[in-house]
Amino acid sequence: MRNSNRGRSYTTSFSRALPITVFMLFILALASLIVGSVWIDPLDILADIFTGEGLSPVEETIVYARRIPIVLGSIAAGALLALSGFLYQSLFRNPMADPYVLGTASASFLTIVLGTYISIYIGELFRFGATLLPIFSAAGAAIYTGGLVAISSRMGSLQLLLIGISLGFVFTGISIIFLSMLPPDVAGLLSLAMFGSFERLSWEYSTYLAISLFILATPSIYYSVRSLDPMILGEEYARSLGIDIRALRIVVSLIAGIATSITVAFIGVIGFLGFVAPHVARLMIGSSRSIYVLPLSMVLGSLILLVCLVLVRILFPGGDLPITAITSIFGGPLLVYLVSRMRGEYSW
Amino acid sequence: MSLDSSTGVRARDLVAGYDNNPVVSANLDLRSGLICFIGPNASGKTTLARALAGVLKPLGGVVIVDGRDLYSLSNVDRSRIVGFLPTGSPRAPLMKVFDVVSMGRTPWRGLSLSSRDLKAILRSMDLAGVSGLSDRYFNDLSDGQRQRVLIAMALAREPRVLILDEPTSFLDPINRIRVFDLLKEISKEILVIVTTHDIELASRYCDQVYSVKDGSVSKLVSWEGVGDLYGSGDLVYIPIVNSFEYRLPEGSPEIHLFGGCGSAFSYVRRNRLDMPVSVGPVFYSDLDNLALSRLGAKVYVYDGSLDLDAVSKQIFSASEAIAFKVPDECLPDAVLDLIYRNRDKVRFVDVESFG
Repeated sequence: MRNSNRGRSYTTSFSRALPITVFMLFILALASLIVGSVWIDPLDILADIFTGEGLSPVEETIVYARRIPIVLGSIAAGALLALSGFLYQSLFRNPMADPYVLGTASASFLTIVLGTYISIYIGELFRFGATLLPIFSAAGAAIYTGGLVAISSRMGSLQLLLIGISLGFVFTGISIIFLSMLPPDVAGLLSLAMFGSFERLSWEYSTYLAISLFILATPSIYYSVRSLDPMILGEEYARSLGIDIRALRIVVSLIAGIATSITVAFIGVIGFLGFVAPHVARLMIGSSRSIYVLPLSMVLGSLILLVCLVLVRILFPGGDLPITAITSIFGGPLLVYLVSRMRGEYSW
Repeated sequence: MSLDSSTGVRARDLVAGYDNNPVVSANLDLRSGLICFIGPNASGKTTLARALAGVLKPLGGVVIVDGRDLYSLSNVDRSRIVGFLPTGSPRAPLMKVFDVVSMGRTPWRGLSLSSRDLKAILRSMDLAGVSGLSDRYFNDLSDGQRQRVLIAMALAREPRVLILDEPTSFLDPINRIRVFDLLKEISKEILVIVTTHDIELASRYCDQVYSVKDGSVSKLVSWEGVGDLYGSGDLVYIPIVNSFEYRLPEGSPEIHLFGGCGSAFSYVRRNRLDMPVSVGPVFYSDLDNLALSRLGAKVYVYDGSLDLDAVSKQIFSASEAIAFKVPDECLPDAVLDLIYRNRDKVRFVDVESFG
C-alpha cells in the first residue's frame, strides 16, 4: 500500500501529461534553433518563419538549411526509438528490452558497414549514399529480427535478452574491425553513425525519418491497444484471448526492427533512449495502457533527443559530439533509478 | 439449465500433445455444472485443459463446444466461446483492476470499449466480487484477489464454457474455498471445467470428477480410486478425511491406543507413528476404525460378540497402552470400564495438545 501511494503521488493524468510534454517539446525545439556556434535571436527566427523577414542571409542559411532539419529529424528519430523500445518491451514482456539491448541497432549498423565495405572493395557496385544506407540497415535489422522471432517461441524472455546483448557485442566488434580497414575518410563518416550524430541530419534524412514515423506509428497504436496490452499477463493469456502470437511477433518485431534501422541509417546508433522513454511515460501517468503510453513515449523520446541536442550545442558550439555519449551518461543513472522503481505495482 | 445435446464440451478421440508427441487422449461429454480433473503432476491435466480451451491444437480428434468444432473456428471466434485461465500468478505492471478485466473483451472490442463491452466488464467484476477493487493496481492485490480479478477477466468475454488450470494452487486455505465457492456460483450459468490438486475441495464442490493418469482420462466413480491414481506407494488415501497417510508397519502391536472419536487417528498423525499399532475397541463408525484399519493398524471393533477379556489380554501385551481424554460417548461403556480397571497400566494423553 505504501508503495502504491508513493507511486501515485508522482503520477499525473495522461490528459495533463501530453500537453505539458508537447509544450516542452516546442520550447526545446525553439531553443535548439537558437543555440550553437552562432546564437540567433528567437524573435527574429519566429518573425522570419511567419513573415519571411528578420534574419540575415547567413543566419537564414544556418536556420533553414541546418538547424530546422536537425530539429525535425531529431524529433522523428527520438519518437521512432521510443516506439521501437515500447514495442520490444511489450512484445517480449521484458522491461529491459530495447533496440540497443536486443542487438537490433548493432545488427543494422554492421550491415551498413559491410555494405559500405563491399561497395568500395568489391568493385564499384554501389554508390555510397543516402539512398542505400537505409536499405542496408533495414535488411540487417529485418534478417536479425527474423532470427530473433524464429527462436523466441522456444526461449524465455530473459534468455532472449541475453542472446541479444551477446550478439550485439559480436556485431559491434565485427563492425569495429571492418571500420578500421576502411579508408580514413569513409571510416570517419561511419564512426559518426556508430555513436550517433546530429550533424548528419540533412533535409533529405529528416524527411525520410518523418515519413517513416508516420508510416510505422499508425499500425503500432492499433496493434498495441488490441494485442500488446493483453500480452502483459503472458503469452498464454493472450493466446486464450484470440491473439495470434506468431503473427503478432512477426508484425510487431518487424515494425520495431525497421524503426530502429531507419534511425541507425540516418542519425546513428543511440543507446538508452528506447529503453528509458516508455518507462518514464508509464511512471509519469501511473499506467501501462498502450493508448496512453505509446504516444507519450514518443513525445518523451523526441524531448530527450532535443535535450541532448541543446546540450551538445552549448557544450561544443560548432563541434560535434556522439549522441550516445550523452544518452549513456544520463541514461545509465536513470536506468538505475528506474530499476529501483520496478517493484510493487510496477513489478514485471 | 438446458439439456440440449449441443451444449457443453465434447471431446471425440481427442489426442493432445507437443511436437507430435501425444501426452493425453480423451473421450468426454461434459454438459453442465462444475467438472473437475484430478491427477498427479505430469499426468496430462494441463495439456488436456489447453486442448479443451482452444489454445493447443490437438494432434488428433475434435473438441466440440456448443456443437461447433472448436479448432475449425478462427482464433477470435474460439476465444469468444471459451474462457481459459492458465495456472500461475501473473503480474501486470501499472495496470488497474479495471484494465485487466477489460483485457477480457479483446475478442470483441475495437480500439475503444463499446457500451456493450463495458456492461460485460462490470457484470463479470460484480460476479467475481471485485467491483470495489476497480481502481486498485492489480499488482498491489493479494493472491486471492488477483485470482478473482483474473476469473472476472476470463468471464468478461461472456464465454459458453470457463476452463481453469489449477486455479487454487498458490492460494491459502481460505482463498481456495472462496475461489471454489465462486466457481460453483458460475457453474450455475455456464459449464466450468477445473484441473486441481485440491482433492478435498474437489470432493466437496465438483459435480463430476475425472481422473487423469499417464495420459488417459476416466470418470472417477469412487474416491477409493484416488490412492491408485496417484500411485502413492507407502502413502494410503483415506477418503473420509481426503488425505494421504503413511501406512503403519506390520507385526505384533508395540503400542495400543484406546482411541474413540478419532483420537487415536489424530495421535498417529501428529506423532507420525512408525510402529505396529493396535486400536480399540471402538464403535464401527468411529473414525479410528475407518481410517486406521486402512493404514494397517489392528482395530478391535466393539459389537456384542467381542470377547473383551481376550482382547484385554492382547491389549496389555503391547509395551504401552494409551487412552485419550475424550467424552464418554466416544467409547462403549464396557471399554471405559476396562480402562478404569487398568488405569495404573494406562497412560492418559490429552489429544488436543501436541506431543
